[in-house]
Amino acid sequence: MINPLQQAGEYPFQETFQELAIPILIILATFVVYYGISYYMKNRIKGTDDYMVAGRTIGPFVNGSAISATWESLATFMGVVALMVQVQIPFLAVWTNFLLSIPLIVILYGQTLRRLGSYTPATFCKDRYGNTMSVVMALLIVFVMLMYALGQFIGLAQIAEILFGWDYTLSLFVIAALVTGYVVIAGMWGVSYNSALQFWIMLTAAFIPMMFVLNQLGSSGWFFPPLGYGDLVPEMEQTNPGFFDMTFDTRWYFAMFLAMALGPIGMPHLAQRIFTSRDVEAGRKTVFWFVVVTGLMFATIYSVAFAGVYWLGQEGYEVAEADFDKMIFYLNFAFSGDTVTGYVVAGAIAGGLSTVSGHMLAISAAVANDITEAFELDITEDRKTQFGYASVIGAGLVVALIALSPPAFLVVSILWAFAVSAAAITPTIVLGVWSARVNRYGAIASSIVGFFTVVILSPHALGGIGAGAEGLTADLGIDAIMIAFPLSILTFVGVSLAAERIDSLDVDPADNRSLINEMHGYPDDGTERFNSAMPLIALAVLMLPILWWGIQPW
Amino acid sequence: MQTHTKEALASMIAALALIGVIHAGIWFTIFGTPDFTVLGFPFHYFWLVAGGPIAMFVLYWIYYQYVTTSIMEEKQQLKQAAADAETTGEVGAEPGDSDD
Repeated sequence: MINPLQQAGEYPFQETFQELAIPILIILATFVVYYGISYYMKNRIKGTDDYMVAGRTIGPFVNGSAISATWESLATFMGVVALMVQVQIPFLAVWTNFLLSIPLIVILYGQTLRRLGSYTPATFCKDRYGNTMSVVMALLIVFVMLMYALGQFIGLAQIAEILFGWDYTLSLFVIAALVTGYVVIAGMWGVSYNSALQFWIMLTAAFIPMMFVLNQLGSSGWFFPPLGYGDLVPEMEQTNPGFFDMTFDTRWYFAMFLAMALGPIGMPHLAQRIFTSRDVEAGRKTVFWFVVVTGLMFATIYSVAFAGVYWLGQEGYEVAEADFDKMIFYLNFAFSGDTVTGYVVAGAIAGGLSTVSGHMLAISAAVANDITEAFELDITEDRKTQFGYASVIGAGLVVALIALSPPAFLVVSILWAFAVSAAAITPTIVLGVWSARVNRYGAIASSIVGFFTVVILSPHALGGIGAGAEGLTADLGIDAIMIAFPLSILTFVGVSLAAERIDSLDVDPADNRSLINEMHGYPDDGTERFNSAMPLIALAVLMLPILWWGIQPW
Repeated sequence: MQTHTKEALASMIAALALIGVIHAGIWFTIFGTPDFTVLGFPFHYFWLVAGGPIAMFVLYWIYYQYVTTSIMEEKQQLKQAAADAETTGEVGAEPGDSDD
């Protein structure tokens, strides 16, 4: 057995490529295809609608695949496997919560905002709450997207480091240039079709090599990796007796639900994919494809984590924590060699590209469309589209510069972004869609309270103040959500209802009538819908025990 | 019950049901895991990996059927009634109408 603190370069198994030519050819070929698709789609860009939401023309299958790739990211190949190896089954529960996000986006607001013709949630905020909230939301979107994209850029740069042996800075700027280039060329048109293709590259890069790995590990169900390794369970229970234990208490899972299911609901790059649907019906149907293809992908990735832990246990190897991210590559080097691992790396890169391209377009839409409209700048459609191109380039540069001093663990910044989104973005959008009684005062107060509570209580900003358990969950920065989310909802409901009673604020729920009717597809017939305060009060009351639960010692 | 109340309730029930099936894999463990295996896996593991997502697909299908048939039909009737009530109706679709 080797020392667990031993670092990469000292393990008794292959850690990096010995023959680089074929892997590099495979990866270059995928980039040629991505750029080819973008170049082919370039002619379809006629205006902002085309650049930001692909002219709202995408069908359910392409969108289901694309949304799955955008949603899965590089973390699926690296961070998820690492956390599955480290945290084991509890992290599976975390990631399954994530699966809820797309169906919940469609049910709770995706179809209504698609009907309204929004580009991002900030566009909706402008219509629903006015310019100030639109700017607040656009800034939140930019912040959350930068945090999320940061993890992707770091991971992609690390892959380039492993592959080419370049130093980190060079790897980072080459990756930033490549990603920015193909997003700039064709905006959402190119990104949509590229992301759909990238999903299938990711799935085949995870699924097919795992067939070989499981076969060599002795699994009789090797031909279907997602569920074919059940016969290895008894041996796994012997070598890793705690692998199937849920380990943590109920509150941990509840905090994960708030962050991992309600956080991604507010993520603009996911919502934006629903807004590209050719109609509301296609948006609803997208969920079917999403659940099928993502379920398949995730079950395959769980098999990678299982096989990694099983293999280490069987061989008596131990790997340093910082190298858990590379487990999928180690497995494939050990069982399939350089060429197959080259395709696995291409799959991981596809995951990173699909997600980061979504982030860049979300930032671009927030800056080029939402902020210019909020400030009522008088610019032409052409100029706005050009501003969109410039925003994508700017976003790529800013993320690359931030990523020069990266956080220690790849996935941390992503999970922190989820917590911020759950507390500061999701309540504003969802309650704004389903209640005519919430208003701009509540929305602004709620977003500010939610954002600052997460920032203050998470370990990344002010180290001395914290919330939740010690150790991994606190380190991930999402325990704070148990306090931030209920506080955000209580603020939203309390301030909104109080503002109605202050004459000088001039709040009248009836002012929202036309917008609420339009976004839900009702006629503007004078009927006031979604106008009762009771559901809001019930929700606020429900938040009190959650808040109390969150502030108790863990 | 008014159409928008039914729509809100259907959405809330669908959301809670989806959350429930996914979390069932966790609750099984916390409140007592059923002591049997599926395809060789402990039940809670199987549920998190495959059972939950399959149940999710079925539940969403039920929601989808209800919304696309019952709710959308009622909305269409409301739109028709509103159009009939207008004495000087405009010709052409309102923004968003064609998307449904």
